[in-house]
Amino acid sequence: MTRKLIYNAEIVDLGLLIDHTLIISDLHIGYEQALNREGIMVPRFQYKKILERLNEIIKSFDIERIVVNGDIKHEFGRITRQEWDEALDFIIFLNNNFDEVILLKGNHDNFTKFIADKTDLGVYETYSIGDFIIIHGDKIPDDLMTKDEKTIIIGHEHPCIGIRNGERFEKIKCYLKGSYKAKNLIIMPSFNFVSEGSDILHEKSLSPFLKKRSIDEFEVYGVENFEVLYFGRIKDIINVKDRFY
Amino acid sequence: MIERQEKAYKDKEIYQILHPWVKKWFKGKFETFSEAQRYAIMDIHIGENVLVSSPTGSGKTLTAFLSIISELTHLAEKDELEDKVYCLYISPLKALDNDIEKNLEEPLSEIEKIAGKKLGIRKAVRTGDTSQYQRSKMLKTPPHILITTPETLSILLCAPKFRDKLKDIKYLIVDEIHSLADNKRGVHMSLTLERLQNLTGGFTRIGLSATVHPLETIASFLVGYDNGQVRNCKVVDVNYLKQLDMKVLCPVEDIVMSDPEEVNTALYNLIHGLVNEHKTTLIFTNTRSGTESVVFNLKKKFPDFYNHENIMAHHSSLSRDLRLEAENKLKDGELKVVVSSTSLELGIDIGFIDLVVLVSSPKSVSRALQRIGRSGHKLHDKSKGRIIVVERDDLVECSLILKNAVEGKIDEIHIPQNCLDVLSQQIYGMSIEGKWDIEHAYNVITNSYNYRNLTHNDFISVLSYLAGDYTSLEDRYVYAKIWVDYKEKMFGKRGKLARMLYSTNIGTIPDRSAARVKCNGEVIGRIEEDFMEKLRKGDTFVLGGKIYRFNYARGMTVNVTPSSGPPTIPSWFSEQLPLSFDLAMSIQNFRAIMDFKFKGNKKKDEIIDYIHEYLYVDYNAANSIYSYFREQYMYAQIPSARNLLIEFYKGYGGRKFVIFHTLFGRRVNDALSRAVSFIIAEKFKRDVMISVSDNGFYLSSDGKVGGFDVFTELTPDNIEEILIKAIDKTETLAARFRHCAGRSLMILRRYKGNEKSVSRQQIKGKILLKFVKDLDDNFSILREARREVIEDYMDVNNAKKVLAMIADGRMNVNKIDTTIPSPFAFNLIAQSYLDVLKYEERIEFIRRMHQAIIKEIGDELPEE
Repeated sequence: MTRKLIYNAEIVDLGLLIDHTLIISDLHIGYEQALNREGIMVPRFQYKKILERLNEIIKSFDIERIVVNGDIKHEFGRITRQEWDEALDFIIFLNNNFDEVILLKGNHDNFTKFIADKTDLGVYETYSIGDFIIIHGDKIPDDLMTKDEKTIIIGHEHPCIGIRNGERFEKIKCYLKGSYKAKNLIIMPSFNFVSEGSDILHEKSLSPFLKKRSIDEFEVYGVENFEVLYFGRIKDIINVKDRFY
Repeated sequence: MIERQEKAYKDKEIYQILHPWVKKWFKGKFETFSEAQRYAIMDIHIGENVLVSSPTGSGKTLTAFLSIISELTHLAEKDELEDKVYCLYISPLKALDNDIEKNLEEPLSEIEKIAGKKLGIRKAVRTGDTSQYQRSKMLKTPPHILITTPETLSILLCAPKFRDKLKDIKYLIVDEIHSLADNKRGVHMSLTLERLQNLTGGFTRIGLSATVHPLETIASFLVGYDNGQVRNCKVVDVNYLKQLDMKVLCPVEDIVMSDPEEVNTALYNLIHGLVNEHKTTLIFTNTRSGTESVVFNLKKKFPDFYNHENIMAHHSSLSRDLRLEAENKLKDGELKVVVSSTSLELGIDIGFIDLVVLVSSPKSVSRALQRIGRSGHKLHDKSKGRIIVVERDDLVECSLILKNAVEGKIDEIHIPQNCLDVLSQQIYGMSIEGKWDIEHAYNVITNSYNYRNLTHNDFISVLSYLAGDYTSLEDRYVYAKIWVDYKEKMFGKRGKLARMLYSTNIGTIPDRSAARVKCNGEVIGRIEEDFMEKLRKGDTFVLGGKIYRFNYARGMTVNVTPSSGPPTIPSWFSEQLPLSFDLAMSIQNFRAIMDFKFKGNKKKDEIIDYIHEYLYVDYNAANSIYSYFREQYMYAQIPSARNLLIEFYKGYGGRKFVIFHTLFGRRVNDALSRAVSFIIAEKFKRDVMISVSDNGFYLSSDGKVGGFDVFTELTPDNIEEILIKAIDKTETLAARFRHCAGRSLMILRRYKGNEKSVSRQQIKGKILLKFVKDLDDNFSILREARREVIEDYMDVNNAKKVLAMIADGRMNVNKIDTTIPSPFAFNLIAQSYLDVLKYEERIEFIRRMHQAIIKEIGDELPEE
């Protein structure tokens, strides 16, 4: 398999690899319970899948450090015992499999701090490796542009592209490569298996890094079960897409 | 046993069984009994189950109620009326419920007057609209006649106190039963009736139906089974009594040669002429948009004649107020014309109508009769109907409708069987009633007509779903709706919220989502989601009589700009009624006769005379039909009930078309075409474009399609299995699964005070589908969604019949090559809708689309 790089960060399925550091984002453990509370009675199924996928990545690459870029848990209100257990279990899993575990704060994540305290881990706003600065992406720190790192990595957006052909419609998780002011910008897909995310070709952006500006020039890297598919620029996809409808 | 009631009783005999006050009242009101009353009242009196099929205006309400009112009068006179319900009346419509309550007012109060004292026979309507205050009043002093809907009844069965008031029900009346029998509302009701039977130990069942076939099946559906034997029921069929004056009209002399513009102008002139000759005309179109456009065009073409005072539309997308206004104006005789789609088919009282016009084929004989039966309100009036045809296939189709209607051959009704989603909901309801023995519950359920063949395994799989067996033990308290003790063979409800959840989420009609249409920032109307899905940039369509161009959709909002010119999207296709299989077969038989005539070198005049006599159409129509068939015969072959013709034709740029002249109706063709294209896609790894209509389907592709060989691979034994695979990745299955998940309460529309929007349900429904597929490919709700798609949405059973005809040689499959499409193929190509079907794995789909997009963009992976 050829290696796919965005600004020299390697795409490894739903994670990004920089040197020996793996970055994943937006796991949203407990999403099923949130669905339950809305009356959609889907039982827990994704936590097992998250672990399976992570194990696959761990087996194939030499990884020392893991950065979880926010939103481990889906919701913080009304947590059941089992939801707690799952999140705690996940932190223990990370501790057992990596030399170093870095937790970043997400917008769904007031709660991560409690868990992190239990396991003696810190929860940070940002984390830097080399020329990269990693941040969840729900807000922009005031001092961000004064920092030296050239490339910003965010999650939060859960980007995917929706492609229709005849009756068939599929959403594909993707990375976005673009810029924010003078810096490079990478937007990561979510590391969960409940939903693909929000269709950037159709839906409004969530993150202030993308809001109120054109992302037409951003490039799209689709990922499906370890396979990376380069789709070109957003504006081009939108242009040609209609022909396949 | 189900048997026809052949004995009509005399006035004297019927009067003998009526209470003297009731008899006196009746004599003062009517000269004599109607036919339906002569056949039915005696049986109801002695407690026999009866199904009455009779036309509007035959005194149906009294047929059902007269002996019941008499019975209640007896009790009232002796002061023996207790505080409980004696008679339940169920109708599919709240509006009809309200009508019936009004209609009962008169006899009850007048009989009281005759008695000279207060009798105190109470009646009341109870639906979802009934207030809390009225409900508690009903509990204190229950109505003796309770008027309700099927859904409300099943909620009442779970009401701990009110349930007691239903224990001694003597009579049950189901009105408009034909409109419930062919869908899941009816399936739901049949189980509710068995629950009621279990509670009460039995009651007299009375069904009122329009003309449907076979009445014996509707009767079985009404009365259900007892230990595998259908319960007794008498069938009263008095439809032949109402005279039918029905004609097929061609707006132009030769519909084969006329262009659409000419036909259109002539169509409105013809309608206008008919309206002028009659007092009040009811016009039916097949769609809501068709309804809108007839109103719009009549006003536009005859502005001096039509205005908002004398013409109105009536269809289900209109607000309730507008519909009520139309109904009231109609009753008061203020309207000259009312135009409707399906909403005025059902039996609410609409006053005096002396003509019904059907624009284009109603697609089935029973629908034609139902619609035309809305005219001639008094019993001995003729029902007068005119079907106006708009093109040549329409002409042939409507002519056969006429023939079958005149000869009393009505299409067979399709009744869904063994629906596991409805079963889940009802078992939940049963568990709320109390603890059940598993085997006893199974017996109660299989007493329903719809579940008489339910396997024990399927029953247990539903129990197991409800018990949450698919989740881990520690999670079960969230997902289990009932507890099941397999050892003790018992089950019952779980959770304190059960009754509340049940009563707020009950029912079988899925929420349809409608998208808002915005023009210049203003909401101008709504379109259905299926329709929105088909819209592509630049398409134009009609909404509210105006034309708009589609720009884009954002979520459930559609952005459009005003446009002109003919709409590119015929807005009817998503709600178009499918041609009934029986009608299709009679057209095929007619084709075979015509083929025989041409092959026998019969003279032109002779054939035209024959068409005129055989189809009961005028000479203009006979002429048009003759020339249409002759063209097809001379140029190619006539496809028919004996000859399934497959036409190979090469289009522009060498694109190959394989046209299947399978005139079996769209539901059968949907099944056949998807099975064929699935095999092709698997074999040749090629995309096939597929297009389906009532009269056939075609496949097209850049290269070899191999349609003939593949078609002959289909057998009555393998098609179901192939179809199940073929629909697996489709949006149709996903949508139906969501509906089934809603009915089986896996998705709760109303939960803890929240109501979910449809678009949110949809997204979440997909998550659920993904989970369920991963979990167990045989999950009961998933199986039900598949069954619904292939049996109810498509028609796999009749597709099997067709394949059996081919297998045993009754129908031959023949090939023909053409350079331009044959006349019969022409309409098929022009009318059908297109879809590209690809049966591939998700990853293959993504890779293919990726390559296609990259090819268009002409971009390479950038070098890093």
